[in-house]
Amino acid sequence: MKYQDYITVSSLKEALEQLEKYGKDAVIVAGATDLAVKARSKDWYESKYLVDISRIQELQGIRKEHGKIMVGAMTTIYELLHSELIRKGAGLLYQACGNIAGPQIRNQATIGGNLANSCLAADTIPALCVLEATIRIMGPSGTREIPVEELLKSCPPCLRHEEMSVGGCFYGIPAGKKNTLEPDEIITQVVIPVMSTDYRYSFQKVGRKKSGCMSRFTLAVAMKLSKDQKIEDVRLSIGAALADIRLQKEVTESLKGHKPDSELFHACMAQLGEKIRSQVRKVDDNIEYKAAVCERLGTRTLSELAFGTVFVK
Amino acid sequence: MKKVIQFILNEQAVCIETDPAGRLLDTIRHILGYKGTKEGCGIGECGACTVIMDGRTVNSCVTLNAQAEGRKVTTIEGLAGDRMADVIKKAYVEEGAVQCGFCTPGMVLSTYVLLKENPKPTQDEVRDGLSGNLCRCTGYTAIIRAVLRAAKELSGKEPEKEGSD
Repeated sequence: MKYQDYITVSSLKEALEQLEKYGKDAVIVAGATDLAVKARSKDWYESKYLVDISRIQELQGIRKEHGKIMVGAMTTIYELLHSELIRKGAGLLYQACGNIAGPQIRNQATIGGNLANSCLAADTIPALCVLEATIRIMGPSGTREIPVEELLKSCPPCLRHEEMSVGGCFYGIPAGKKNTLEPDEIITQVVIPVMSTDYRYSFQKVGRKKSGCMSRFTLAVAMKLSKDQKIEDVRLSIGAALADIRLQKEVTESLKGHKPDSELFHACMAQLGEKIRSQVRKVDDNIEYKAAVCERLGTRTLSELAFGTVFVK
Repeated sequence: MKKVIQFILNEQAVCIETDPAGRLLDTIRHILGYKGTKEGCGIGECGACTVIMDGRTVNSCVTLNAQAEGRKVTTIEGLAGDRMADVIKKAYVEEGAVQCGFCTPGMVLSTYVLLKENPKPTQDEVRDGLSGNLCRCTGYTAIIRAVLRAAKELSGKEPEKEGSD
């Protein structure tokens, strides 16, 4: 690959210095599992300075602090899958992680990278939206914290990139274009409020194979029933089907306060299916497929959560 | 652009001046001459390029040279003489789990790491553990049998005498 320089930094302070120096021409390297592929298909990074943050200690580790799980951005998917804190306190993320690629990629890919890469098919993102997680970001202009659902910018071209094989990605440098990060910003931590055990949850992924494939549709949902068995709270997010990934509040607002009912679930998921279809002016097979999956898988998942059988993949 | 990268490969200290953003796969095959690690897809999906880095499998085609700095890397050649690896390889041979052999180095490395972490895997756990390694020849059945056979032998039990079907 062609690039200007490759700089490995060992502290956040050093990283900031490099980012200040290179500004828009900085490209962050974490696990590099996506970057390494994109670099082979096009000279995305020819004028860029690669800043390798993988050795920064402050970006490692998972710990609990005041009811929140603090996950360092360099935490690998493997580490998330071997963390009791994550398995018990952020089960949706745990389920999402099990669906990512294969063991070799999971050993190297990071949660920060999955977020910063901002692919619509990213599996952690819908789960983190439903978990109401936030991201801590650091750059030369300071630090900030945003909800995960404010990370992605709407990106209709990506919908045309069905199955989004990494090499063909339209965005070798997602910063600023696919997301609300500046090129000189680093995600330092993901902050996940511990999910109360009152919530039932499920993460569903549809892809061409049982493993090692790009998601064609993902669904993350969490639901809480009140003592009189009404839906007290429900949060839902879908990936790889809309131009961005966020909480689908219109769907969930129509469910709150009602008794769980398969027909009501179907009406809501059909409404979301229509939202998927409304993105294209003429019939598109992939969009049609995703709308149908959304409707049926969504209804089934909500029903299974509400009526007691949890569909565990 | 070249930088000095130092790491341990198959228990030998290695110091090379190379492109830090180049692929570890190329360093292993072309600079260091270990041809057991293969290039299948080049995009981190098939596992033919699997190596072990600091105890865990990675796809060397999506690993940059700089990521190996200071780390311990093991290729299939590095498992030569390892007792556990010998049991695994013997099981592969006896179960007919090797046809063209292209996926085999990656499969054996993934099997090795799987059995180290989980000495008594169920069939599903074997499938999961090898899910990053594709095989176009065998249809996986013989490979899964081989892994279970190796697990049995490593746990001290003699494998049942059975022909491969």
